[in-house]
Amino acid sequence: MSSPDSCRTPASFRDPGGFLIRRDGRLFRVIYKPWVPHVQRFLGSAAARKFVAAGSFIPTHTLDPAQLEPFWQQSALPHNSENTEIGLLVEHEQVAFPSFPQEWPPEMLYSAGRLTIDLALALLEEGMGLKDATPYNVLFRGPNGVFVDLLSIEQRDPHDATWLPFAQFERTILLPLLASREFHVPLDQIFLTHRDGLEPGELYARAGPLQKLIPPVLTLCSIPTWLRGRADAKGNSLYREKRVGDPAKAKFILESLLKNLRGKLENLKPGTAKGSHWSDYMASSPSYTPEEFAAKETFVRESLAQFPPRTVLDIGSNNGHFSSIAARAGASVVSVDSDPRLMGELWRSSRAQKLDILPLVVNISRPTPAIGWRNQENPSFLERASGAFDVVFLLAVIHHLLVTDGVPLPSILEAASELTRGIVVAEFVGPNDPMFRRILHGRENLYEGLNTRTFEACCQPYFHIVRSIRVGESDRWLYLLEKKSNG
Amino acid sequence: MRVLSVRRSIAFARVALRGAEACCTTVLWLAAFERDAHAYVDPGSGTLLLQGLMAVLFGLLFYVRRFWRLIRPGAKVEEEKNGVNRTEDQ
Repeated sequence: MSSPDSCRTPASFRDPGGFLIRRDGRLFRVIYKPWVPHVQRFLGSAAARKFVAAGSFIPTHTLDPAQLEPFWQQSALPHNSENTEIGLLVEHEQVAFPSFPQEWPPEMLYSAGRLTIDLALALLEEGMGLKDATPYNVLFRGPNGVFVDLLSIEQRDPHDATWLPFAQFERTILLPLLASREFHVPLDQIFLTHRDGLEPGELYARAGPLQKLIPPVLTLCSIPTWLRGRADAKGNSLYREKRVGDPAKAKFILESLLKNLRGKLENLKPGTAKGSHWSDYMASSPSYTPEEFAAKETFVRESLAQFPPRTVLDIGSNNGHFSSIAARAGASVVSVDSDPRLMGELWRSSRAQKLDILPLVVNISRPTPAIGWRNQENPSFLERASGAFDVVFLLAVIHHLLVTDGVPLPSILEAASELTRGIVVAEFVGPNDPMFRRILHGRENLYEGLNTRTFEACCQPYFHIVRSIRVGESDRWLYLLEKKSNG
Repeated sequence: MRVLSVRRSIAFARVALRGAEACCTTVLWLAAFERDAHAYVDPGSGTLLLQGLMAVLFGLLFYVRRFWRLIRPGAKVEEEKNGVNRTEDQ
C-alpha cells in the first residue's frame, strides 16, 4: 500500500494547505484538515458554479471518504502536526497539455491576470479571497485560461482590508507585462530565472529619468522603490495584519484595490502585433506560387483525413495556418514557434474563432528546460510533449533546424519520432530552394550532397514513407511518415 | 417635514463623526488594530506600504460616498443605474 507522499507530484510542496497526487492517470488533491472548511465553502459557492460552468475553473469533485482507503493507509501518513492531518480528498479534471508563463506570449499572461482578478472579485462577494496571485495558478486549455489551484481560495476575515498577494500579482503579472512592453524583455527570460517575477526596483533601474515619473512605471516601479526604505525601516510591524472595524469598509477597500489592479492590467494589455521577423514569412515567401501553396494545403488536409488525429503538435507554426486546418478537422493542437508576436496573434485569432489551439513560445532547437526546485517544479517541454501527439507537423522548419541551428538531419527525425505517437507530416526543403539559400550565409559546401534520397535514408530507421509529393516545380517535398513500431 | 429634517441632521452628524473617526483611523491604520499576518506569499515591502496608503485613501472614499449619498439621496439610484457596486452599504 503506497502512502500519498509516494505519489505526490514533485511541484506540489509549497502550499501549506495540502498537495497533489497522481495515481492511475488521475489527479487528486489532498487537503489538510484546517483548510477543509475553506475548500467546502468555495465548492458550494455560486462563484464556483459560475466559473466552472464558464470553463474558467477546473472541475473538481470531492471523493467519498471510503474511496480514500485504496490510496493509502491513513496510519502510514507522516503527521508533523494537526495542521497536516488529512481532512479531504478531491479529484480534479486534468488539463491535457500543461504550459507555463515562460512559454506564453504576453497576451496569455494578461489573460491569466484577468482571470485571477475576476475570480478574486467574485470571491469577495461571497466572503472569500485568494491567498496567492501567481500565473502558475492558471493553465490553458486551447487558448482559454483555467484556474487550477483550489487551495488558493480561502475564507477571508471580514475585517481584513489587506490583500496579501497584491505585490505578488504585480511581480508576476503586471511587471513582466511592463518589462515586455516597455523594455522588450521576452517573458521566457523573466520566468526561466525569476520564479516569483520581477521586483519593482529591477525595472526602476532600467527606466529613463522621465519614464520614472510617468505611469505605469511611476506607480508600479518608482513609488514602491522610493517607499522601500521607509517600509524596511518599519521592520516586522509592516507585516502585521491590518483590521478595520467596519466589514463593509474592509470589503470596499479590497474591492477598490482589486479594481485598481484590474485597471493597471488593462493599461498593460498587449496590443496587436506590428509585425516581426517571422510574421510576414508566409505572405512574402517567394517559395510558393498560389498553386503550390494550395497543393501543400491539400496534402496536409488529406493526411489528416487519412489519419484523423486527436492531438497535433505544429512545430514552427508561424501564423498557425496549418494549426487552424488541424483544429478545424477536430484536433486539439499545440502550436509552437519562437516568435512571441506570432503566438500572441495566433492566441487572439484562436480565441476569436473558438479554435482548440494552444500557442506557445517555444524554440524547438532550445526547448523549454525543466526548472524549479530540483528541476521538478515545471517539467521540460520535451518531457511533456514526448509521445503526446498523434500527428506532428514539421512544415518548412527542418531546413531552419539544419542550417540555422546546425542540428544533424538524423537527429531531427529521431526527435520527431519521439514526439509523435503515429504520424509526421514533414516538408523537406532542398538546397536549391530560395529560402534555403537565403539562410545559408556562405555555407553552401556543407549541404552540397543534401537531397530527397538523403532525407528518405534518414527517415528509414524511424518511419515508413506512406506517400510524398513534390510541391509544384520547387525544391520542396512533402512527406507523410508513419512511425515504425520500434521507431 | 420637520421630523425628516431632524432625522437627516442626526444622520448627517453620525456620518460626520464616522468621517472624523475615519481620519483618525487613517492616521493610526498602519499601527493600530494589528495582529500577526499569516502570509503565504511574500507581500513585498514598498508595494505593501503603497497598498496601505491606497487602502487609507479608499477608506476615506468609503465615507465620502456615504456622506454624498446622505446629502444627495438620488446619487444612490444614479450609481445603481451606472452599475456602481454598493454592497458596502448593506
